Amino acid sequence: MDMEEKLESISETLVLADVSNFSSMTSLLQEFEAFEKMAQESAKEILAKASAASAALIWNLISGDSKGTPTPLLDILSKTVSLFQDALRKDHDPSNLDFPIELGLKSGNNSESTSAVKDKTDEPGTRMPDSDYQDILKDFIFGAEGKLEEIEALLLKCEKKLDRENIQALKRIFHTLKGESGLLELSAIETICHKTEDQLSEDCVTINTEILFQVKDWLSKSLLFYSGKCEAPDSIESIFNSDSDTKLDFSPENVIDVEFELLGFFISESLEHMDSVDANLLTLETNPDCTNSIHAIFRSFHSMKGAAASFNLMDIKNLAHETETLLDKIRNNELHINAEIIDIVFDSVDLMRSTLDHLKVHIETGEPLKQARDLVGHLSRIHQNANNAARDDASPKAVEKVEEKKKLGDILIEKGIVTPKDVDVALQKQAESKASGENKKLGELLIQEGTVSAKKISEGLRKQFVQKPVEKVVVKEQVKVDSERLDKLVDTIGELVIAEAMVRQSDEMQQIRSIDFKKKVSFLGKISREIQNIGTSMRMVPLHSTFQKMARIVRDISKKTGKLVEFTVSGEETELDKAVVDRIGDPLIHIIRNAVDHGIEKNSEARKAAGKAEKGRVFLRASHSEGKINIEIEDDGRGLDKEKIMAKAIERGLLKPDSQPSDQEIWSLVFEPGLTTAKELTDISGRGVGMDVVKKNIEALRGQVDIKSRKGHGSTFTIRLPLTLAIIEGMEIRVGSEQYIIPTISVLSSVRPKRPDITTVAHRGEMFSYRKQLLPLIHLGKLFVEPEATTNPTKGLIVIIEHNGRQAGLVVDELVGKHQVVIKNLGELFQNADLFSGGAIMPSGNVALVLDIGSVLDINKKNEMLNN
Amino acid sequence: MSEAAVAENVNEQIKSIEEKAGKYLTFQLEKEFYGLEILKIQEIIQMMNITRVPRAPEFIRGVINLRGKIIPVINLRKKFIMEFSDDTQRTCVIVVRFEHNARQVTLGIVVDEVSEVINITGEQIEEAPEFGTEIDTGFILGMGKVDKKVVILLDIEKVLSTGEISLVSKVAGAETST
Repeated sequence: MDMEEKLESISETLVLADVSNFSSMTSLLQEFEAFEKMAQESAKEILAKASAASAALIWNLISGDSKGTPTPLLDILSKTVSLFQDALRKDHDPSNLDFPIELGLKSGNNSESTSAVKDKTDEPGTRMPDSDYQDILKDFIFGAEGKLEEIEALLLKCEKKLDRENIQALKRIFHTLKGESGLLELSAIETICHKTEDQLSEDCVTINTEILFQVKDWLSKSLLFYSGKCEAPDSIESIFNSDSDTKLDFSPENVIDVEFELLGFFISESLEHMDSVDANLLTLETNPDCTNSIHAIFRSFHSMKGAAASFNLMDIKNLAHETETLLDKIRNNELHINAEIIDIVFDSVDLMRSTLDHLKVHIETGEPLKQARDLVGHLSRIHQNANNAARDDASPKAVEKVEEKKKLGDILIEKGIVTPKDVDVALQKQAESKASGENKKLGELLIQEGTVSAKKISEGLRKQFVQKPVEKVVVKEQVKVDSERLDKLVDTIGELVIAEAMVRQSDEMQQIRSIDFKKKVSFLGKISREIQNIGTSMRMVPLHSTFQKMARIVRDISKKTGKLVEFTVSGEETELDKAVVDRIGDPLIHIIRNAVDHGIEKNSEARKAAGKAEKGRVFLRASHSEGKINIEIEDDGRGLDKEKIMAKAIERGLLKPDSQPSDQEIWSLVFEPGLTTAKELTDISGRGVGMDVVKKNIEALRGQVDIKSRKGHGSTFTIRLPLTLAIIEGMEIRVGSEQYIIPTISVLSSVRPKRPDITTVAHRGEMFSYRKQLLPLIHLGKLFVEPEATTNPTKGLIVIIEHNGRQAGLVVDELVGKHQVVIKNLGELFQNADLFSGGAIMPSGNVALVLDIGSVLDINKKNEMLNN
Repeated sequence: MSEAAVAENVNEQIKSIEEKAGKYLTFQLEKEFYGLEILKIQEIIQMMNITRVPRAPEFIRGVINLRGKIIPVINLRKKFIMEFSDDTQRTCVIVVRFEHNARQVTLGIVVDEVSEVINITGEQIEEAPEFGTEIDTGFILGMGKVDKKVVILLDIEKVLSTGEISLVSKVAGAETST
């Protein structure tokens, strides 16, 4: 590990560092000490000194000697680290560095040099980095793309429910991006990330997702620019500057609303915290040595403290702080857990709950905020207990007294949690004046249903706690591989499978009688199939990030159009070949856009009148079935308008005026280029291009789209895709002297027809009645100009196929068998021969062509039209 | 055209002919000798089973499996509108590889017989004869004259992009006249 890497890891630890968390501080200390060693080894004395000083500061904090408040320490450290980075990267003379004075280094206060550095990094606009960095840059871009996806996911989550952890995670990502882009001297990205990180600073409990989304978009554009795919994006630094005075999101007019909404989040989150504290306390009661529980309780109070402070809720903050201090002593073995301490903590929980209740009333009714009656007494009791450990702490500020008002617990589980505690503490409670009134009120109900089973409940709780596993993050090791190499490997595996089949099916092999030898050969076959499976699975990626993009698109469109849309995603863990996942995005975007823009009704009144929920609903689902992937997009909007589509199609000559097409045929007209029924063109959709793109893209992936729609009830688009592009399951058929492959995805069944089943219908050629349906017959022999092929369907076989809802019967000579084949491109010369989607190498070594069922149907239709 | 321009034109022609000098693989088609730049040739393989591709352009005979890769095989006889003849023992496939539209293209050419690799100098090369507007000779790099034989040097990329051409008789006629 070189020094720069070490610094990277230090700054990472620093971001994650929590001054009140002992172990995080020790690891930080170790990092600094390690860096000091490295600096000494590379003869960078100043750096070594500075890191030694930093380590000393951390040590002071850990050992409790620190006089200053702890938060600035982290600031000092991060400043130091960034100076280190500057020094290493730009080869600055370290003696010029302006280390924070707190480090106690007597460096010259050379502000000029730092400002010079700053100027350089702040330079606006995007510069192309040096070519030397190309490799690192590639890695960076690759990694950053993933991180941007993560950012988007987190932002979407934050929009739904503001969560401290998500914000922290966002901050971490931006910080890493900042560091990496700084390393590559991508100053524009670095600056933006830096500013974003600032905006996400600890106190900022709310974030402006709109701006962050913009930042994310800008970053993706910049990445594209660096990978040479597009123009340099305009700088967006201005979005920060424009409202940099206000705290980003608290735009003055809606401060109150936002704050109240966030307070709501805070309350519900805090209540969850209290629930978990209850559970953990119960565990502690039976097992006082369970350090995990202490830590969990500590964490709950700690995060409440932070959040409360940011809302300026001093009561909660003080209460949480005092309790935390007490717990800290236990954690550091200065105090031992006894019944009294557990009671105190239980009381803290109770007080916290009642304070939160007051807060809730305050938000909902606007009544002045009240304070829990017992607070002062309780605080001093905590304090007293803490003092027993002989350590002095700053006394809490006095707080006003307010009337008490406690609602009964809402949920049964919550009651259950309170009950055993009430029983345990009943005696002390009574001695404790006014708080008991509250408890009796609660108790009256609780005793009736709770006391008898108190033991059972607490047992249950303990069990529950045990079952709740400590979250373990198992980081799977991953290797980045050039996708070209991977393709080559998959190709070669395909060849291996073919070669294996060739050997196994060769005549010579059939003559061998040795059972032992045959066993070995079949073992070989088993291994090669296994390799094939592994090979295919290597290219498989979950649809997750694609679906997430869709969530973003729905959000954007619904904002633009002002429609309320509830977007539900399921099955995003379904895995697909990377090539498919990469190309499925566009068609999905078009379908989803249409669903929101055209499908969902514009005003909610119309929806209500139709008996639907006010919010429009759009579902995106993915699932596996029969070796295929189904992706479904469903909306509960207006549905497709049959008459309008037909009128348009007749107008454009796609349909004869007197024809009576089936529903399926009408829906497939939607995919015709230029056909649109939208009255007005919006910037979202309406040009009639989208659905054409959908069809082309999906067919390029050898998939199909199906539409189901009921006017007034919404539409469902079903996309069916093969699992992978490289290997398909196919039926081998014979037409004349040649072998062909029909993808099994399109095959419904095969039948040997009888004469009466075949009828000739005027203008529509030969028809075949199959399960009371009349299907057009396509003579592959004629289509392929194969003179040896049979012209009499009764002598051959009819394969019933289906594509995009259209069915037909293919007349073939023989069904040879079913194979897994590796499909290969026929090359550029065959661009016009679109009857085939590719070729497959058969076990015989010959090439069999793979039919493109969609174009077979299309060409047959064209031929029919010509004949008429 | 001014004299200077003519002189420049001639210079350019000489220059381009100089560039065309080099090693060529010659093969026979209907008793005619043709040459392909050796640098574009990947290998020569024996005749193998060719899968016909229905509805493809007629000069494409089909596709073959070249060690796991599917490549198209073109029939120069069809391209040059020669009579179809059955494959013989000597019939083989020349696999060429070149860049077309910034993509690597590999394809096979069925020929009656592969002759030899010859070295053709600039002096031995003459410009492609012109047969008037109805016949495009753009696919001919030049005419090489070696040992009293005339070798038609083909520009394989252009062979694929130009339509089918009745070449044989015209070239034969041109040959006798020179």
